[in-house]
Amino acid sequence: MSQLMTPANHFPMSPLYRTDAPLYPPIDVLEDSEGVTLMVDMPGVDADRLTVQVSDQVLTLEGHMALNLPEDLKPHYVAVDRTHYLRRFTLSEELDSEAIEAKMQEGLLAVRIPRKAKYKARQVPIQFE
Amino acid sequence: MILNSLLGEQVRASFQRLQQEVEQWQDRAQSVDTYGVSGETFPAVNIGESAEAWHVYVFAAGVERESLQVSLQNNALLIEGQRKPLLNTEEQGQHYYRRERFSGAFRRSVQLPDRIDAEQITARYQDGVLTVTVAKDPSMRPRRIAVESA
Repeated sequence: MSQLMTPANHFPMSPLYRTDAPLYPPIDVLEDSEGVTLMVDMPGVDADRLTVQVSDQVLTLEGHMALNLPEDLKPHYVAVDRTHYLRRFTLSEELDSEAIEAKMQEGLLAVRIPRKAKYKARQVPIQFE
Repeated sequence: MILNSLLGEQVRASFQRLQQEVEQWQDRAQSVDTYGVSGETFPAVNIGESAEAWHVYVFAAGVERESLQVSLQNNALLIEGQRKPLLNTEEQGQHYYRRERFSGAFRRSVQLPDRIDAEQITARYQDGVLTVTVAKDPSMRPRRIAVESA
């Protein structure tokens, strides 16, 4: 099911209403010396309906919403009319795509990507004399 | 082939990366923007009606449970909550590289029709979606009337 609810005011010519176009989830990217953390809003998606994969340094985040809607639901106001989220990123050479960790909690996806060891910041001890 | 031998591996990798990034930039143009993107209302809301009830769906991922409140006054359903920014300014060594998600307090209100059963409201927060169900007044629900045969 890609269509969540049929919009009440439907403009069939608008690209917005191409039902195969995915949702573009907003993200935050946090960086520190050890790596980066991506936070992605995907409300309605549980861990089973989420795909996080890396191929050729391209990170793909994809999810499908599962909402229990009553069968006879008649839409009145529809801001979200589809269920497929998709977002892709090209990872920097510095990041270790083998060591990605992902956690899904309450529709909020957290992806941690550490830096490769040789790119991590190192503290250089200073000798005082 | 000449190009390949002239350009080093690194240069070719750079071009490949450029190509990938252009493709991903196109992703945005070919997708539907969603809530939380700056300038848009957070959270997005869907409203529908079934035979028995009104259904309100609030798309708000990662909201602190304690902050989430649903109240009803004069048939206006008020939904409030808060999403903390990820970083405290005191926290050392971390910074935003990119910031698109909404943070802070939010409230949305939905005006419901007159004939509802204010005593029968349920609210459920699961996978980042708050679902509020407000039963219709019994007089508004469809009833099957038995036909008597003489």
